Amino acid sequence: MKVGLIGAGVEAKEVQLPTFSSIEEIELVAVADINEKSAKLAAERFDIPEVYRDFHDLLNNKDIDIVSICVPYYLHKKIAVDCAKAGKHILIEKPMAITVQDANEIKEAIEENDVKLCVVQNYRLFPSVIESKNIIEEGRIGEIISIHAHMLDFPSISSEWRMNRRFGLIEDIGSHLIDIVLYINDFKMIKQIYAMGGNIGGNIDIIDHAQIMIEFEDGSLATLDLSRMTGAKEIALYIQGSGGLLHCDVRNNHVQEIHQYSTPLDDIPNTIKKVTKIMKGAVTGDYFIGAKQYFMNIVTDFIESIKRDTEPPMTVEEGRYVALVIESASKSIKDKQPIILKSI
Amino acid sequence: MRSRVNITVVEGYENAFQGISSAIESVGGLNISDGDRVLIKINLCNLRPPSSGAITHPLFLDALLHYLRENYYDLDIVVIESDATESRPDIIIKWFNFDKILKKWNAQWYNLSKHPKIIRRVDGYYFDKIEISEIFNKYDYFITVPKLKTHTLTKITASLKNQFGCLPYWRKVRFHKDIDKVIADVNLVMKPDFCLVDGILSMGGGGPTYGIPLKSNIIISGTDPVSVDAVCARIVGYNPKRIGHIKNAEKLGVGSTKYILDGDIFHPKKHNLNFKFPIWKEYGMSFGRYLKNRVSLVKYFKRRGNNK
Repeated sequence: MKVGLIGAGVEAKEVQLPTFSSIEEIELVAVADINEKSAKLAAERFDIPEVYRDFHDLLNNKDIDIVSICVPYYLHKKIAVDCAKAGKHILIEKPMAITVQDANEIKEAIEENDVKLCVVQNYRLFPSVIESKNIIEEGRIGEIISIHAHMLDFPSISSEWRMNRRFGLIEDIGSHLIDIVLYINDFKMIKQIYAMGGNIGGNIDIIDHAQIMIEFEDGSLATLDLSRMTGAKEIALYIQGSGGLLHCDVRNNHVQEIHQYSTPLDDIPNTIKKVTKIMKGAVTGDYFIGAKQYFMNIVTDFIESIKRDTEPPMTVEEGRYVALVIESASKSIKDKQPIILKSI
Repeated sequence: MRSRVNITVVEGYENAFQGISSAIESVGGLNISDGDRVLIKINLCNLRPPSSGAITHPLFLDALLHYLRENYYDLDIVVIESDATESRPDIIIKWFNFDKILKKWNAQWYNLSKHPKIIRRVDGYYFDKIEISEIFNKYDYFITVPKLKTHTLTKITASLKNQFGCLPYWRKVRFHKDIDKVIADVNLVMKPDFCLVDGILSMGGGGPTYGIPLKSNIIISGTDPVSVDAVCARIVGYNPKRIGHIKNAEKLGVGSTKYILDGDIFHPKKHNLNFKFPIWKEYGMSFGRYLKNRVSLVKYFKRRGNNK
């Protein structure tokens, strides 16, 4: 498979390019970035023959099978639609889109041109998230009643497109959490969304902490708590079922089932298990790499889905659903009222 | 003669009707005639959703009532349960749509705690006289429909323990000290004619209320509650001879732990079903219970008074 990369920023150089060059099946053919210097640097480092300033030139290369879009999310729609029109399969960074309209246009374009699209939602592949999903499917906590999820991150003021947009928090780290919560709750239909958020300085109109409340059609609820101002890096979910509680510590990759009481009888072995897992991860290095290591799984699964003509690991429909939540939450914060969704 | 106990494997509650039909017919069917009054004792031990595995699943009751209505004419079906220390079944039947199911199949609801009682003499371990609901004076056939669950006091709860819920008192917790004796006595007076254990969604771990829901996908049926419970005990992982209430019930002549097992082959371990806690946790919990039993409010305040 020949791959072209659009966007040669930090994410591309640190995650995507090293992964692509480590997969034998993949041949990196071209890289395009509006910042030509950055593109050339990437090309030199990863031995990529073609370098372009304009991504349209990359799309004209007929040898390319897959295009990876690794640019800030507000530029996704135009590039994705053009890629689809050029008949390229698309690997797109999260969030696929931040409005439903954009997501619909991308969806239409890929359906019309019969290409496949996969959204890079790598947090969903954390073993703890997969384990939680399996426990829920086994029925060990009954049916989901409510999910409380939180994702706290450090501020990254140097990355302007992440921090300087009004709803950057929801669009950037929020998209990970939204995807996990929707995935855990089987992408059920949403009834309404209510979000609140603010800036702790109060002097600037950029949301740095927010809460999104979601009511699903089946009556289950979810609260998503996001912040860049806490000074902690955490991502965890408390999943309440009709038959028990599940604590999924995504960052430390640990899942704990709680039935009736949580007592030291459960806490001691759980802590031992957790510490052992972290130690093992620290020795192998997995613990420090975090979610980035799962990009490899996404790429290989996506290639497999192209070869076998099956559904990609993360579909355009799921990306559209995440876009719906992002858009509704942003609108709810702006209008200070809940958004009732009749249909998407 | 050894009684027959059947295990039927059923894939989820959507197939409960076929499962129940096969479970009943494979042990010789129900000895009911048209027009009989049939009592069905379900298990509503607390306000827990059916998906928790703690209470009889409404779809299971629905399937059983469907079976009865389809196969017999003009039955007077009465679904019974009583109030318990932490349970008010009158509310629970509304909460989880049991009332609609009862209406659909024209079955009556009867809360044993809310109706007159009668006294029966019994030569048991705990009671010599026992107060039961007067409905047990006028019925033709009694089907007990328990859940398959673990129980922190009695190890398992199935057919025999379900009749403990037929005692009409709401504060049944007072019998917990002598629960193995009480269960055996209760089954002498209110012995079920047929046992149909809902093990499609069972409960493992610290049951009977807040344990771990397990999709075990089985129905256990039989006419002898002691035999049925012996099979249930084996499934959960206990030797029935070491379970107090099963042992006592057998000694009182309620039934026998010797049975002929037929039906589907079911190995919990092959399905990765661990009903029991690991041994260290079981011992830890019994130690915790021992410590808890040492502390009563009276003792606590007495001790505080002495210290002052």
